[in-house]
Amino acid sequence: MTEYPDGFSLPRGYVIYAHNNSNIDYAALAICNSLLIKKNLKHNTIALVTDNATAQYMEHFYSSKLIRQAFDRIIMVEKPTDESTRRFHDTRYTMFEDTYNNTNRPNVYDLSPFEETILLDSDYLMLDNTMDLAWDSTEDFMCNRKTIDLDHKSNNFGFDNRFNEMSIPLYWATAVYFRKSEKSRLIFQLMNFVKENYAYYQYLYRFNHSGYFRNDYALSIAIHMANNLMEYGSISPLPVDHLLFSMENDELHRFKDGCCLMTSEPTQGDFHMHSVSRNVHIMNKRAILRKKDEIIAYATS
Amino acid sequence: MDERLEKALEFSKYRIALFNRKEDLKIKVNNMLVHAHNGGIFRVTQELVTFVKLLVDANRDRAVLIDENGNPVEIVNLPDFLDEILSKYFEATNYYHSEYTKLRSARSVNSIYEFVND
Repeated sequence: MTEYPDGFSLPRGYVIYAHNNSNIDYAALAICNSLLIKKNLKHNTIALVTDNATAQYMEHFYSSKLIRQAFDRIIMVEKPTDESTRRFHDTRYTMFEDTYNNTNRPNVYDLSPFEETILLDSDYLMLDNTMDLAWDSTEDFMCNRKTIDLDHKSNNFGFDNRFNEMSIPLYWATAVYFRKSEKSRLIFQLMNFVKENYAYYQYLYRFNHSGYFRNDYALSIAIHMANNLMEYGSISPLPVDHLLFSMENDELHRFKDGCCLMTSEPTQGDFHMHSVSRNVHIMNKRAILRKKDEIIAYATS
Repeated sequence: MDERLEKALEFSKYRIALFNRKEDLKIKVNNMLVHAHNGGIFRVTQELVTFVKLLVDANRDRAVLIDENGNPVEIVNLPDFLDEILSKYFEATNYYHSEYTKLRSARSVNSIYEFVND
C-alpha cells in the first residue's frame, strides 16, 4: 500500500480520478465536482488522482488558488497505458470517439490517503448533502445497484440491472464508499484481477464487451467473487439507495443556485424538462463542461 | 396545426412536466428522511417515530434498533434520538408541503419550473 508522508493521510474524504483525453477535460469536471462538494457537504476533504499531462493542462487553465481550493491532496500516477476507445454522446445529435483512460480506479484502495473513502466519478455532481450520511458507517463497503433516470425509469440498462437475464447483479462504481479493511482490500484486489483477465470474465459472465474496460462490470464481478459467488446479503447500498442518472442524450441548459435545468429526450423530438437539485450522474460530460463557469462561480460564491 | 390539437398537446406537456416535478419532489423528500446515527442508516417513518416515542415513554434510555441494512445499532440516548428524527421529519414534510403547494397552483410548464422565468 502507498506510504504517504506524515500529515498527508486523513481520516475521511473523497477520491476523484481525472485523466484527460483529447475531447473531455476530466480535470475540469473534477474541479466542478470538488467545489460542489466543498459547498454542499460537511466532510469535504478531496484527493485528486491524476497524471502529469492532465495536471499540467489543469494548471494552464485554472489558477493555483482555485486548484488548492478544490483539492486537498493531488496524487500523481502514471497515465494508464491500457487505454481503449469508446464512443461518447453529446445529446442525440453528436457522437465522438476517444480514448477512455479511467481504467486504474481499482488501485484506489492503495492510493487513497483516507481511512474512510468515497470514490466518485468526476461527473457525479454532488448537489445535496446526503453523502454526509455515509461516514462512520458500520458497513465496510457500500455502493448502489439501483438507478433512476430523469424520467423516473428504473431499468435503463435492461435486465433489472443485471449483465443479462441470467447473470449477476450490476453494481455501479459511480460512487463507492469503503473503509480500509480486509473486505474492501479483497474487493479491489479482485477488481484488478478481473481487469487483467477481462476477456476471460467477459465470456464467463456473458456481458457485452463495449470495447473498453468497465469499472462497473469489474466491480460487480469482484463483489460476486468476494461473496463466495453468492448473490444474497452481499453489499449494502449507500444511504441514498439509488443513483440519479442523466443519460448521454440529455442536455444541461442552465446551472443556477445549485440547480440544473435539463432536458431529457427519451424519443427523438420528445423533450422533457427537469429541474435537478439532487446528486446527479450527468453522463453527457460535454454538457457539464459547457456550464463549468456557472458551476464554479456558484460553488465558490 | 388545429387549435384544439395544439392546446391538447400543450396540456399534455404540462401534465408530463407536473408529473416529473412531483416525482422529483417525492424522491427528494424521501432522501431528506434518511438519518444516520451511530453507524446505522434509518429511514424516518411515522412507524419509527412512534416506536421510539413508545420506548421513551416507557422510560427507556437506550435500545438496539435494526437499521435499513438490517444491522443492529445501539441507540444510547433515546430522547435525543427522538428529537433528531422528529426534527428531520418536520424539516422534510414542511418542505414537501411548501413545494407541493407551489406546484398545485402552477398552471403552465414555465410556472412549474419557476427557475426558467428569472
